[in-house]
This record gives sequence, structure tokens and C-alpha cells, in this order.
Amino acid sequence: MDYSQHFDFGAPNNQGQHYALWEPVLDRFLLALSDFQLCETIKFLASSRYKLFLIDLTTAENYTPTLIDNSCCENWALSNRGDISIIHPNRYTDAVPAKQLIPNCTTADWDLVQEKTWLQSVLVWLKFINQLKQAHPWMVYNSFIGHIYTNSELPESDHSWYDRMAQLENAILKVLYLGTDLEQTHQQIVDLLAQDQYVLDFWQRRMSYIKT
Amino acid sequence: MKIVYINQYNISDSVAQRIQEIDSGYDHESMKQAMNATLRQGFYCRKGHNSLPFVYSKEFFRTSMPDIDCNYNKSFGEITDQRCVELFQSHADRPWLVTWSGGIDSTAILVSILKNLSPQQRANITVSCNKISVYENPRFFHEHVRPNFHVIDSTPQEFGSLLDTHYILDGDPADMLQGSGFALNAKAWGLDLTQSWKQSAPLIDFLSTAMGRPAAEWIYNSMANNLDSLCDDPLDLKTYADWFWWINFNWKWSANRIHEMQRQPIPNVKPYLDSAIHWYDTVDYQQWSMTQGRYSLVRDSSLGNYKKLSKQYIYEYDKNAHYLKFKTKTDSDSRGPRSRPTAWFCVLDDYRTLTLDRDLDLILELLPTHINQSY
Repeated sequence: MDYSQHFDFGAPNNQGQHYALWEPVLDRFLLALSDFQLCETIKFLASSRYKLFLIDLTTAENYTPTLIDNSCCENWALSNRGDISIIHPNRYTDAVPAKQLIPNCTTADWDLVQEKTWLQSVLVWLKFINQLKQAHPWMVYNSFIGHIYTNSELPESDHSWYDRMAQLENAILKVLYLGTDLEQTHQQIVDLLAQDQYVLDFWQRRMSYIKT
Repeated sequence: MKIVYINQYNISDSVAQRIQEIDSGYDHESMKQAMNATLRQGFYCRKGHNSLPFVYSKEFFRTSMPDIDCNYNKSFGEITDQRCVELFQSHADRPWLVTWSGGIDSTAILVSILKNLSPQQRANITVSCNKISVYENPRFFHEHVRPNFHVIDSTPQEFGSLLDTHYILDGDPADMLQGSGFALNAKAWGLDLTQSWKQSAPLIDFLSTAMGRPAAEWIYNSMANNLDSLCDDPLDLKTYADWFWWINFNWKWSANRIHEMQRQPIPNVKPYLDSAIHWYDTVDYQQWSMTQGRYSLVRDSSLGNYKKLSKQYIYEYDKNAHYLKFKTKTDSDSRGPRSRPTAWFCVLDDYRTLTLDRDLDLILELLPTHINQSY
């Protein structure tokens, strides 16, 4: 699959939030995003590959909204890497404020395009899961009624679809967490979608929408 | 009856006062700060002039430091394969429990077991780990641990109940073999690791950032006394890199290999000493460290190269290129909360443990013979 059709530039949102995921061995940002929660989920999903640290770009003295996006983020790092204790990765549940954004012009001994494409593909699937949750009327209804009643208080038929979607979400996250090869991972997820006709149709509609 | 081991990090004010009565040079505050920055168990000198406050007991610690064999040329992989084969020959009479943190050292142990033992031979091997271990190395858990081993949760584990029935294998004292993470911090701070340790000012300046100036001067001067006594030794301890390696290899080795024991609420440590197998505590690994491992950080001290030789051994088995390239040191404290505090204060030569609450009078009475009055 060509993930470039889904390329997310990772520009700041309307509230001005702008984050990036920094990898310490390469000393580069590998993904820029405006959504904190998506950043956090991607950080955990990518942890089977490397430790990523969530950085708040907007605190840097030289920050401008157009300085860093996903077309060039791998050429940038932060000046205050000494503020991040890399041996204690679990300390960082909040974004680390960048002091200065500095270019990293060294040649990387690793395929950066491959890593950026991987993270973009993870982003595509996370956005798809969110859209799927919002799209089906039953999902909206269930997410509301779930606040009022527990599953055991409702008739079986009212929550089975919701449960199926939750299982599908978990299965996709597991494939992304343990996946290594881009094409193989994509195929595994499509195979999961194919188990439910509604989900498959939804995915194919989104694909054709993007292509047109 | 005498004390053979003290958990120095837990020395109380009353014990410190007693030590100072016997040895007026004992600098409790500096030692505590130095330990806080480097090792939270204790310093014991294995070789050279003992410039530390306490006496080292060869009988208690069992494995001593061999003299360097300058012609030693076995690779890390050869030693690690051989360790598994020899252990299986000598310790097949009980099931094994391997404590797997997901880190590099314990993963290398499992690789060695998977490489060198048949499925039938490893049928009696259980892996003890928790969610943090899985988070550290998920693919290895998914592809190699779960399919090949019985897995139990390490979080509530107190090994005391297993000491009579199992051998418990851990990854200690691997951190003492391949240079020091502290040296990486020093390099990042700006210290040129190839320079002579006799240039005291830059090293003390760096150490001061981690432990305060009095403690930095205390540890530098104590180590200088020890190193001066070894100036003619073929170990050739000359550089800052040597200094950082030697503090681990000489002073921290003994306490590091038994730190898990300190969290076991056991009245007598003999069953632990007989049942615990510290994978890396062998003469071969020590020779390898003295002749090869100690130089790995000097050759390439970039972040991803920490324990590169161990990672290479793992990669040759699991082919996980990301782990090889990106796995960095993770402090064990960050792998979840310490489930158990230190359980006792010191050990006697009959292997009984004493606690400060229960046995303070006896501890104070026995303390003098454990204090090094010749430094």
C-alpha cells in the first residue's frame, strides 16, 4: 500500500499545539503531530522498535509553526537533550519542553524514510480506528449508553457489535505493536477488517475517497 | 562470630556514629552521596589497597578476581554459549527459574538457553517476568519467550519459597563488565575518556554534578589510593575510562551480584547463595571484561552501542535489527516500583542476617572487626 496518499504533514492545530516524537540514538524527530493523545499512543506502539520521547515544539525559542513538519522533521533535534534521562523512559508521561530546535545535518546510518513511513502508517490506522468508532450509529449510541449501563445490565444484542469493534481495535493495535514489515503488517490488518463486512466497506469507501 | 557483609546504603545514624568512634576518618555523608549516585548497596574492594571503610570477605563472596591473562581471546558469544552448556551439566538436578527483565543481559541468557539446550532439556525452565519486561522487549517475548517457556509473574515473587526447589538465574553482575553507564554520562558531560585519571580536576568536576563536591573528592581520593597500589599491575589502569570501569569491576562487583538477595526477607542467606546463579559471575567473563569488554565504550561510546557485544549475540539469534540498533540502557528502577525494600542490614559469617530494628546491639558490638582500620 502507498501510504503517501495519507501523508499527514503534522502541522499545529487551531489551538497552536505542536508536538514531535524524538528518538535518542538517531537524535532526530521522527514524527510531528498536533494531537497529544495520538502522539502518546504512537510512542507506545513504536516502543517495540525504539524509545520515543514526546517533545513540545512550541516552547522552543526559535519555534515557528512552519519550521518543522513531517516533510523535514528527521533533520531536526532539540538542544536540551540533556534534560531527558534516557535511562528512565517511564518518567516522561508529559511532553518535554524544547528549548531550541537545532538542525541535525549528519548522515544517518539507518533508513529514516522507512521509519517515517512506518510511523505514518501507524497514524493512518489509528485515525481509521477513531473514524470507524465515530461512523457507525451503533458505536455512537453504545459509547453513550456505556456511561449509563454496564454490559451485563444490557441485553446481549445491544453490545455485541461494540464488543466486536473493541476486539478489532485491540487486534489492529497488536499487529502494529509487533509488526516489522510494512506490507505484511498492512495485509494482516486488511485481513482483520475483512472479517466484518461493514468495517471492510467502510475501509474501502475511505480508500476510494482518498484516491479521488 | 563476625560481620562479613553490610548493606552500606542503609547505614543508620547510630551505626554511623559507632563507625566514627572506631575510625575517625569515616565520612558517612560523602559515602552515602557517592553510593546514591552510583550503587545503592555498597563498595567492597576486591583488588589492590583497600581504601574503603569496610573489610572484604573472600569466603563470603566466593568468586574472587583472577589475575589478568593478557592472552585471553574467547569472545562474548563463546563464553555465553559455554556458560549454558556447563551450567546444564552441573545444575540439572533442579528446575531453573530465569528472572527476565527484558533488558540486554537477561535476554542474552535466554538466547543462550534457546541456542544451546534442546526443547526437552529446557522443559524444566520457567521464566519470571512482568509487564515492564514485556514492554522492554515485546518481540522477544512474543516470538521466543511465550512459545518456549513456562512464564510466571515476577511482581509478587519472593524467591525465598523457591530456594530449596529451584536454581534462580539472574543477569548479575553484567553491568560491571562492559564499561559503565556512568562513563557515558561523563562523556556526554564533556569528559574525554581517553585522558589520564590522574588529571583530577575534570573528573572531580564531573562527579560533583552527580554527588556534590565533598563526596566527589572522597571517591576520587579513595580510588586514587587504590589505583596507585596497582600502578605496576598488567591491568594497565590509566584513563578515565579505566577509572569508571574499575569502580564497577573492583568496588561494586560484590554487592551488585547479591543485590536481589537483600530484598529477600530470609533469616539465613546460605540457601540463597547456594541456589542463586549469577550468570555473569565467572572467571571467564571477568577475563573477557579485563581484556576486551572494558574497552567497548572507549571504542564507540555512542548511545546505541552500550553493551553492543551482548546485543550482537542476541541479534545473531533473533535478527531484530531495531533492538540491535536502538536498545539503550534502562535503569532497573524504572522497570516498575521496587516491590520490596531492603529486608535486612548485614550478614554474619554463619550466614545469619541481622536487622537494625531487632539486632542493633549485636550489630554495634560486632562492627569493629568489619571496619577497615588500615586505610
